Amino acid sequence: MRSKTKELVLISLFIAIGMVLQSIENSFPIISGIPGGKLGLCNIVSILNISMFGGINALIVASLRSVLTSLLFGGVSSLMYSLCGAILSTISMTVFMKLASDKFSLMSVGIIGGVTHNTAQVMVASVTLSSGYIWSYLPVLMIIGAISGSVTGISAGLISSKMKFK
Amino acid sequence: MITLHDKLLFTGVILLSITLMLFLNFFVYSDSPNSVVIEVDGEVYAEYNLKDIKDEKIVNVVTEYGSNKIRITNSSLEVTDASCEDKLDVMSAPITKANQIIVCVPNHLTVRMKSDSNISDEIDRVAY
Repeated sequence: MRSKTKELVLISLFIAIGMVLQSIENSFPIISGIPGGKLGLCNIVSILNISMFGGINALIVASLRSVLTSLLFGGVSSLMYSLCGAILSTISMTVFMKLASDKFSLMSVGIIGGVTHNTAQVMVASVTLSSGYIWSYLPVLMIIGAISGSVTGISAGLISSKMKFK
Repeated sequence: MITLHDKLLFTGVILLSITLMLFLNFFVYSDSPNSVVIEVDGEVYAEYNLKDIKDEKIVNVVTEYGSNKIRITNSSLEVTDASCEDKLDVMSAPITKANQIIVCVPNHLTVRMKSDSNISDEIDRVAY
């Protein structure tokens, strides 16, 4: 059994790793001028977190991470996107992993995470604009989410096969 | 390990989004526009009939969220300047078809082209 202290240390470690990954990602230029299209490197942290410690732990880490990163690097306006995306994608990845982990590998979990993260972003944008027209942008973001999600999912799979501490 | 189901899911998502994009292109964006609608916070800020625009018209939208400069010609619409930081709306290409939009999320601004049968030309209707 894991002690309370070890759990606390691991949560903080995961938040720190996620923040560093997100700040590295923020320094990249926007990929091919598609707003909202990004790599989502901290999705790797979320996937590993869900598979190692379960959904609730991952939800705490993801929401704390997005609040802290938005306060450090972004602004209050980017907080809503980041937080809603983190919460929705973590919940759906947890559910997906519970239901279908025997047939699908971590790559699919990454795809689900990427696509739902982008859906949440469009949702927040349509609430901000009070207009439904922006949903026409979702298909573009879904392609980006599927590609970047499979990249992060495969990376998470590679890392989790190498990781020894449990 | 990548399983067969992973590949199927990936292909499925890509195919779904391509189908949606084609659907939007052929069925939603197909009409030629006859008016331009500028909305802030979901409420109509200004509306212009394309027939009334001689050569080009520059509209300055100044609200509590920020300001945008919009350039309207009689067939296209683009945002040429914005007060927001990322300027994603300035970078986006001019739109030419009905129901296409340009948004500036920080300034809560939506500009779109509309094809409204109510303001279509009366003479054309009689003629056909």
